[in-house]
Amino acid sequence: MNSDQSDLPIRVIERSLGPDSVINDDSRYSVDGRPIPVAVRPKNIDDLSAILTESHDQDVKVMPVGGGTRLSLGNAAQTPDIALDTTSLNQPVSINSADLTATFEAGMTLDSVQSILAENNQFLAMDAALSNNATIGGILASGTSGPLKWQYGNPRDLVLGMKVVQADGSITKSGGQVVKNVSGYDMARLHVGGLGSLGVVCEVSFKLTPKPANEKTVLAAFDNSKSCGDVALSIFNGQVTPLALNVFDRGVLSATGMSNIGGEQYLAVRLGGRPRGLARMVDETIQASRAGGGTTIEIVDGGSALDLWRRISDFGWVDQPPPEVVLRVSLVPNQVQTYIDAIKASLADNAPSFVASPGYGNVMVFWQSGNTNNKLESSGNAIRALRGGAVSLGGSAIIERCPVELKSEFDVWGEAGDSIEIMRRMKQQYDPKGILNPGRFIGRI
Amino acid sequence: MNPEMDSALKELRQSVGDAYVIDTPEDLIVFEYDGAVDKATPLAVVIPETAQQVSECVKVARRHELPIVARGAGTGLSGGAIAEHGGVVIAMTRMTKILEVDTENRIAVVEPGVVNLDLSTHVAPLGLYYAPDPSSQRACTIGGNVAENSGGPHCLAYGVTTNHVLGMEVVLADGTIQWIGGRTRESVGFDLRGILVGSEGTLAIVTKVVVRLLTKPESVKTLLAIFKDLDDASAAVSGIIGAGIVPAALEMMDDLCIQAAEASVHAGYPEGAGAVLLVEVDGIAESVEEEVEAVEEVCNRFRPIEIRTATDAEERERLWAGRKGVLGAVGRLAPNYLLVDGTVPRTKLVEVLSKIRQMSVDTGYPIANLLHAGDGNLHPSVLFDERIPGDTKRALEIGGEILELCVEVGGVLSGEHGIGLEKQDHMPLMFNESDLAVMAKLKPSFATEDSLNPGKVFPTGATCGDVRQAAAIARVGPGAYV
Repeated sequence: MNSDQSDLPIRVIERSLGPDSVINDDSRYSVDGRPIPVAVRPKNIDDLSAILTESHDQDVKVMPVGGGTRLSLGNAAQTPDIALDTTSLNQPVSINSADLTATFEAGMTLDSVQSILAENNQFLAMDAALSNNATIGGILASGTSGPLKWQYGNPRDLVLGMKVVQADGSITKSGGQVVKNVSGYDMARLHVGGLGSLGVVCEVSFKLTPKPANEKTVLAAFDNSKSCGDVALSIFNGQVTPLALNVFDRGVLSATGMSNIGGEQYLAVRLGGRPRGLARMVDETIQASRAGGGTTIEIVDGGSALDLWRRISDFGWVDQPPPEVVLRVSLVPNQVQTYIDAIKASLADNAPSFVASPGYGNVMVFWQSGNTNNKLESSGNAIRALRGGAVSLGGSAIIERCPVELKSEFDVWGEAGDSIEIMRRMKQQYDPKGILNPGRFIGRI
Repeated sequence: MNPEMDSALKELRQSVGDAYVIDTPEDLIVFEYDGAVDKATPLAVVIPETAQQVSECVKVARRHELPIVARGAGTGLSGGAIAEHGGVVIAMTRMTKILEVDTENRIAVVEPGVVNLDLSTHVAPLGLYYAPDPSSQRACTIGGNVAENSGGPHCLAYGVTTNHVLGMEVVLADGTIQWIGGRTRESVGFDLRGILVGSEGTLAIVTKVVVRLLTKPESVKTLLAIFKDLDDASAAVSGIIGAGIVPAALEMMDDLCIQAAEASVHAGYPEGAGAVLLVEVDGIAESVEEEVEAVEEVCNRFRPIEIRTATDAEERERLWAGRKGVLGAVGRLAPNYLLVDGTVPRTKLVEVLSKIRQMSVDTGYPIANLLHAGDGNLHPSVLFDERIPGDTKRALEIGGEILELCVEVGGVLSGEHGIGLEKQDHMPLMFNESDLAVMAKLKPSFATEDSLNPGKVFPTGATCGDVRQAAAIARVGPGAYV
């Protein structure tokens, strides 16, 4: 798009859906601090397809956006011409509780999905920060997930099929509505964690999970962080099968609203099952925590437990001011505590907060610059320390949030290694004109 | 043989050594077939020992414009490992090393030719196992499992291959050796690992696989419930799921399978058994007891003829014997059979099974049904006799009609065996041209130039299909089961 065609985005929307569909409000959508003055919120998949067809023809750059809770993720790039808001695609398509499957439009929030499924005593086995606003399409596209990944894995493992609008506006589907399926390539994989750079996710079929009959959470405090990490790892390698297990620091504990129970590092273990099985798992967890050096051990249940897990999941995304630097780190399980101790040592003056899922090998790191004269420089140094620590342990780190000014210094996604060539060719194949989130994905694809 | 082929063979011998290139017609026979209905003879089979040698072979084939088919154990039953267009078959028979077992992180690094069960056996003393367990696990390889995204009876609770593969070393179509993913659960960029799993060897050749291992559960209980008909058994399945139980395995067989199993492995099923349901629950002892009680309670609601439970490994093996031996047993009922691999939503099982029975009555061809009832994956076996002219063609037509039925009720063409050659012409039942075009773009993304396992997965022209059907014969050895 040339600069003399500044009204082209508006014309694209007018031509495809009529003038009433133009949202012309530059306070509403922005990326990296820059407003996107033109937006559209298609009412159905055909309308979304029409918008993309026209945008593709006119070479207008589009940023798909769901609840807008993770817009900090992505490399800095040219401001998109149109924000494509998917939140009106907010209807369940089919709920097949007896089959343990369901299909939803991608603009539904995770909370609304869960409340529908709860009617049948089932749930979608994923959680995410700000799940009252975060849409399932947005959660999948950003590849983020919360504490439940300990037991249920990455949300991509719950996806059975997908309907996607391609960059040229064509509507395509892949997969199906059954749990076991090898019929054609598993195309949904490209879109989970793909930041909407290869297509716009419109409908998703998921595998569902029955809600555990009962739940209890064990919360334990440790004076010694390594002991806490060891207990987490022993549970990972034992018979107890938690729904979720996180270790975190005191900053997170206080944000959960739990009373001060002393200690340096904390272990929260979410357990579920029928009465006798659950009782045994609670016992074993308590014993392991005590034997491993846990000082205070509490059982949390009912609404307090749900609240605790929601706050753990939301940590770093609701605080005001939000932490300037957030990283999503991947490691093998037995390096998680090593990493935590290393970053606490290297940033000793201003230690980060963290929420880790050791068995999954994930650490979310949150860092505030605090009182310093040069916030940018110290943020840059912190990012280098946090990412360098992960890489030196054989892991990787995605910068989920950092000051916009620093985005030119880093590829926020990290290194794809040799695979980057295949990824570039994918972008070339699926979005040859580069209209979907151009420049924001890995390698500034 | 033309000079071009001659020089290709010479270069292949230089790449892997004389002893590991097979090119005489009598030796090639065993590689022309994978238990499905199709056959084709490659120019040569090479048996490399290292990724470097695989890469060399790929480069040779590429120079001479020969197609390449990677082959594990050839148990896929969908024609996926057939060198339909000739060329070079790369057999993984020598790449069978378990390179590393990291117990603390529960990771194993293996070569693609490692037999699925051998991995679990190898790590068993460490209290670990590899979860995907296709019924051919005594023969099938991890590399083949990756290509087909294999499942198995236990995938209901533990997921299929793609949920257990963390990373892979692959050889790309130009011979480049590259790592995709790694040892961590998440890697950066597009999920190429997830794309490669289940791509039926059309995008890259796997030379190392990093897999997750699971801790062996302390308790496993198996329950076998015998019902008078499939309706009652299916209702029990729905009841179990409805009670919030996701068993580790949930398998079902119909009367024809029961008779076959009885005749061959003497599983001791009672007279009048119309359906057998096999339920396995695992986990910590207390949970397992509670779930088995709940499963029994559900089964009792549907007039079971008998319920048997097993607690130790030996009893469990006995209960499984009928199920595991059933396909071999079905092989005795008729000279040939065609195994179908559709998956339907669990709640459609009764409807689909009754329609399959009607098909059997209408056509006069017996159809035995065994199913992974928990996940809706059904394996109807159409019995026929290839010696009767037209019989093979008719059996294939019935197989096609069953797949149409599966898709019609919201199911899919293949649950675990892949599209291969067998089902490629049925792909348009599920996907329109745009869907298929989008899938096809993965080939240029991986720059394959269609040299890897060409002519698979995607639909062909009708003529080609007719030619294959004419040559098609279904034969599965007595030891094979799915």
